[in-house]
Amino acid sequence: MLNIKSIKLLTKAELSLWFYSFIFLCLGFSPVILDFIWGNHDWLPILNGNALHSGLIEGRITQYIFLCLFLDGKILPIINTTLGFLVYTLSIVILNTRFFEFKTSQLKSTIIIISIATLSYINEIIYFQFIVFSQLFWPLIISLSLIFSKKATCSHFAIFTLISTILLYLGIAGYPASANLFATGTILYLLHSYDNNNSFTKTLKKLIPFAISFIIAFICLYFSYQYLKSQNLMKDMYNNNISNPIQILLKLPNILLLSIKSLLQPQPFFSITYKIISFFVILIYSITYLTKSQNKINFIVRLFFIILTFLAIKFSAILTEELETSYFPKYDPIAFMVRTDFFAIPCFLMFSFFFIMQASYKILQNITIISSFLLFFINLNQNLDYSKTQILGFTSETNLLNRITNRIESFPKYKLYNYYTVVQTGDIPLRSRYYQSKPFEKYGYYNKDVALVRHWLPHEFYNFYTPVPFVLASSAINSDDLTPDMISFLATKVETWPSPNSIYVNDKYAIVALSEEGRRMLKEQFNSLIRNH
Amino acid sequence: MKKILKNLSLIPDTKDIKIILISFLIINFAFLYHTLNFMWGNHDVKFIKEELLFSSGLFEGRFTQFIPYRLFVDGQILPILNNFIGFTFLTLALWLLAKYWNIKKSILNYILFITFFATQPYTLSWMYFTFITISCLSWTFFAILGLYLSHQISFSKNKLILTILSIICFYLPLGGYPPIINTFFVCLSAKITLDYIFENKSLKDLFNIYKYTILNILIATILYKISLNFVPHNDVYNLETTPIKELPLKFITCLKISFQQFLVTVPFMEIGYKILLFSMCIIATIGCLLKSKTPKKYFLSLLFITTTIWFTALTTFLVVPPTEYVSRIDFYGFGFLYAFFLCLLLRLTPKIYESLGLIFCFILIPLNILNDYHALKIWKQGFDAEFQILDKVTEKIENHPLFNSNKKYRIYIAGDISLRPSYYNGKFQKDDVFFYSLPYLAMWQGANLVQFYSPYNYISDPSIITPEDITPEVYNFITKDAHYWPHENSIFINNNIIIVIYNQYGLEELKQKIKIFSP
Repeated sequence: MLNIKSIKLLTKAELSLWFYSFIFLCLGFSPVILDFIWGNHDWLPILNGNALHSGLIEGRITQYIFLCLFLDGKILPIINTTLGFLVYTLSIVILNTRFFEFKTSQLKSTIIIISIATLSYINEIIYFQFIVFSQLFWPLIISLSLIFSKKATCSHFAIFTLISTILLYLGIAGYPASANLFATGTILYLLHSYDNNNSFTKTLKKLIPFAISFIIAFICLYFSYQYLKSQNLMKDMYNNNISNPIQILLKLPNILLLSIKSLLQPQPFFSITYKIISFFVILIYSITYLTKSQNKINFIVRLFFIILTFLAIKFSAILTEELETSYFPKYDPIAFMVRTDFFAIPCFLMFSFFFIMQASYKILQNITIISSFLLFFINLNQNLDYSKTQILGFTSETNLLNRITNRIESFPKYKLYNYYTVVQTGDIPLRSRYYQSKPFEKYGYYNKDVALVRHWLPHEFYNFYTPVPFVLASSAINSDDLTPDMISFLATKVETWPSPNSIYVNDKYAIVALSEEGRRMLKEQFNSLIRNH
Repeated sequence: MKKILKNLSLIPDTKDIKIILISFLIINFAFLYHTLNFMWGNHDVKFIKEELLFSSGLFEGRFTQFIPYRLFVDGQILPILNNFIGFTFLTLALWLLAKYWNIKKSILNYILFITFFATQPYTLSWMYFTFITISCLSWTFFAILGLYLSHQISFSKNKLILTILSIICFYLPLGGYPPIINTFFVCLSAKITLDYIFENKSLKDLFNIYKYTILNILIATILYKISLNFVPHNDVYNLETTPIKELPLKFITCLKISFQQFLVTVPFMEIGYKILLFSMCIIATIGCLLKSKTPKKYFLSLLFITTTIWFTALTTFLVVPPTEYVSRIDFYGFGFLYAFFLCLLLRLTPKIYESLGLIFCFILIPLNILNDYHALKIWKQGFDAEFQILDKVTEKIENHPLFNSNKKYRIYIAGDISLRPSYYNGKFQKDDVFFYSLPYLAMWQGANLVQFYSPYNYISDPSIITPEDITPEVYNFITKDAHYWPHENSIFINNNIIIVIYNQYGLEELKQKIKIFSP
């Protein structure tokens, strides 16, 4: 029988680590926690909450389970994020104490755990309020899955493997990139085992429960997708295309390079200093690990494990088929996605820190602790910089939205209680105006570039603050609805915001040309209408 | 390193750590509303968006001003962390001061002493401008560390190292904000007074111990003056020093000012509160005088106390611009004077004085916090009100038929709008601009302000209205049609310039300015 007592509750030391990591994580993001702000997908969920099935359309089967279970699907200020932080920091703690089982002094553990828990990878996760709670839950679920797989190597193989599989399925069905944590954790666990026993066979044996959980969970996910598609509940989208095995094999060398590059590439809210320190820690760990080799074969196996780790942290990039024609590869390439790194890099860095702390060189330990402390301070800076950027950007974009709404409402032909089809072209993202870019930085699509409004869904934001909703929906202009007045506006007058000719309102349509790109799109739309007319 | 720190008693023990942590938490509570509501003053507008450079303070001779910002926050003004780092330095400074002044070490005494000083509304004056909060609060730490190290010189073998370190500690804050000199001398004079009264040291002993401190401050000041010659600063008002011939008269004026300060009220430090503080000072002085057993000691004690009081006006004595009753100058002087009187009470015998000191703390600290919260409420209301006007101005500019966001304009803002006073109905004798009347929407920041929340940059840089801009059309508008906010004609736009008129005073000033361009 399974001995329930073998699953211990948290010790005092773990509670202390949990407490401090939670407090410091909250501190770094306190401005965004206290100022209730949200991302561009959140307008409707803020009003209506999320239903259990809301994520099915993109294959996120279990996305809202915990949100519905704990918060009745609602998005609540403070609660959503802090509860999420609470479970996320718990996952960091148990990953160290229960999975890797590194032992060092409480003070040193606290410093390292705080520096890991406050890593800025979380910033893209908390941009969207509608998924923050779920996304922060997955690291805990995956950590538990890893712990049960590990337990299965010692006892109750079947039952622990089954629990691990269920947990893993729960995680990847909610957000497939959470598999990055499982892959990274598994490889690091094997690598650590090999370091202790130096036997490849023994190490491989330990892989079995992990591999079984992994394979079964992914097979289940595959069949779940097939079923959902057959029922027309799920669509093929950019984020659920999977590469075939040959494609996967071919892109491994490139992913390995990208993985190393991404560890060094400064990104918004990940300064070059942060990248250098974190890479330095990983490098020291890798060298320490390799220097423990006893012979050539041992060295090769160790090198193999290190390479595997670098691949594992980009597991989602290996699996996903990134379409060259898609919008995202240019602005938000998968190998540099902060929100997928969130699931792997904290785990990798934490392992690196603790591994070095186990090394016998005192100087390395001291360097590690200093690096850890520095990293914590940099994280705090980056997280508060992020918070400032979000708050000022949100304020300026909502102010702009109010001004556009005022302009529409004060248009001579605007009628109260009439519903309009809004054609808004282009958008004006403003967060980046409050962020001071650092040298060599790239990307930052969600954490600073994307606009607060999705111009193709104007009913979400125009109806949000107005006392009388006026937006019915968004659609292209119907050629039958073209009037001479509208034709004159589209053909000759249309300009970009804030020009008086950036807005046109008649009985049926409200047309808004926000940016120059938007104006061009509107013209193209008009030309095509005229051709068809 | 550890050994040196141990010899200097600079390694905090468990008691010290408790003191520092609890005091830090209380100080943070006192200013929590500010920490949580990200507000900024009118000098900060540009720096909130951009970064502070090492060179940002050079133009006014503040060459070390932004070193702490570059070191701790990479030149950014960050919510939460700005106050946290500042308060950390302030807490450490006051902990060190309690050690320097030999306050009887108990958790209660130290916490009350630290929080009494730090929660005074004077601290708030460093929070109006967020771009100097960290620096100006950290200078107190360096100043007191300098005094502490200088004091150790006469007892230490490492005289040279301590001398160099303390000179650096004095030089750094002088290069950042010269009125810190008040702290040097108020705290030093207070320490000499305390040593004379409680340690029964002779004047000769005092000279032997404190000659190093005076010498170090002198060297740091000379170095500061030399450095100024190499700094490419502008001729700004705050670098003007009093001519030597005026010093004797100013000495007397400063003596008068330094005593008047006890009862002159400023916003958020009203008469009842000031009387309570004054009573504490009077009782402490009486206690000291009663302790003096000989007329000489009586006279010298009184002289030392008077000197300490005079030093609170040292900056006013040294510089031309009026700095009396200015809260942020008083933070470096008068605030420490109150702390000195509290320290006297805590050290005096019989025990009744210590009890009185504690009673004063238990009354004054809550009063400090209430005053802080009162001020912060008014700050927030003023900030919101002024920024709402800014939104409306932006909207009016955007909606103007002649406005084109792709063009570059020069802008002139006529007048300020300061709304904090609208929310305050307390009584005071002297205004303090940082506490009360300085506008968030300052006219000279017009270019940065109108673009702060705007999606586009439409103000050219440098943005000065030139004589060519005053066309007959513009002249006619200003002299005949213009009106102040929120009138329709409070905003004027043509192809080159934008004029925003906030108040009647600004409009009249503008009319005067353009008179010479009369067609």
